[in-house]
Amino acid sequence: MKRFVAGFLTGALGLVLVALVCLRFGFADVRADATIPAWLAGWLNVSAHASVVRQASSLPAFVPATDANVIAGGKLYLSDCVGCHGEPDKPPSDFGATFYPPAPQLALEGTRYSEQQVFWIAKHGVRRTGMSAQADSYSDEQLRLLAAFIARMPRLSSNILTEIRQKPESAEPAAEPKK
Amino acid sequence: MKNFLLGFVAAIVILPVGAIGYFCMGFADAQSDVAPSALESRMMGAAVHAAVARSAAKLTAPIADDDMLVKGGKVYVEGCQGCHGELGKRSREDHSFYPRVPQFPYTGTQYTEPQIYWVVKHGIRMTAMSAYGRFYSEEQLWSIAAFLRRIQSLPPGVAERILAKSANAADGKHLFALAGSPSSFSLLSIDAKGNPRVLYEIPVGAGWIASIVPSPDGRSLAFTKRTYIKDVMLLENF
Repeated sequence: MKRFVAGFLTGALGLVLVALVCLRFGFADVRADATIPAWLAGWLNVSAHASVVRQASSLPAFVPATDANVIAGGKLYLSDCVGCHGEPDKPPSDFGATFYPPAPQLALEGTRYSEQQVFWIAKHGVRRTGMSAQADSYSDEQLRLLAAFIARMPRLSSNILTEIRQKPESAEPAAEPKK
Repeated sequence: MKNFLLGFVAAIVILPVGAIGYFCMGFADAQSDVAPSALESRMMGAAVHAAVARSAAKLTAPIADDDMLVKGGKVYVEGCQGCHGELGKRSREDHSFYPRVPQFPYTGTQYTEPQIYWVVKHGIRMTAMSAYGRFYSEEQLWSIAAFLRRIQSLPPGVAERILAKSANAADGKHLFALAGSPSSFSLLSIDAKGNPRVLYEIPVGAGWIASIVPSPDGRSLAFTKRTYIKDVMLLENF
């Protein structure tokens, strides 16, 4: 048993040492312009997804899914998110592809996150990715509208697509109360 | 000996499996609005630096002159300062990206020119630094590197030239422009025929001009020194 413990500790120490040496001497590949292997992208996603689910599941229900709310969220999306996450009906974002991991093309693929989870991600950001926390730039109310829009991509009615591209008349449409 | 080996193998198997389980079950925090620990910042900072140094070891930077610094500075102002800090503004701390984005106007950088060139071109994995190789020419990349290396020690006049801007007068007949020379820096009014007229001249080193703003009626023109609100100067529009 003593020998087993000694072997275990040696193995553990060895693993940590090898990892540290690789990092310290620059053997980790840091370039972001190589294609991410599918298995790695998958693993990174699993980890972020699991953590978001753990944190965001207890959030209350959100703004009613009226056209007005979805359109208000869509306008926010068009003004600030399209650069990395792609514009509806347009080819995927070149810029979003230059991150490692690449920015998900929401306009093309939609998202498997729920509305609450999208809100949480937009507000708090995702570590070790290009996704920053937006709480400084947008109010919770705005982020809820944004989440309502993103959760409904990529299938958007042409009416909504036309509306979100209209120039804004008022600064910020409010969420409609439940009918 | 057999038991020792068994323990050794057990550690090598159990630790990675444990780590994967930890991540897959969502125990690793995802939100980026909390600062990374000092330990993580130091370890990962050193790992990135070592990897970049290794990759960029064989590159040699071209010799930089003032024109190149101005060119690089203009690219910085247009493409980089949104995340990395505005040239000529007060200090600011990033608290929305994880890891934090370095604020170059206040911190400078320890990376050499070839290393900066490499980072801008290829990006850094698992950070918000994306790869710009397909958006900028080689010449632009080297000029950004030359500029960033010297961002806290720019030769006199260079910052002024980088921040030079132009504005249209409301009468539509004049264009205002800022122009720099090695000894002075001028605000010009240019008429429809292209004739320049010097409205105001500042010796180099007297202060930065960051922007000019024409008044809505076109009768006066404000420009800011050092970009602080209290330093706004007003000129009559000729």
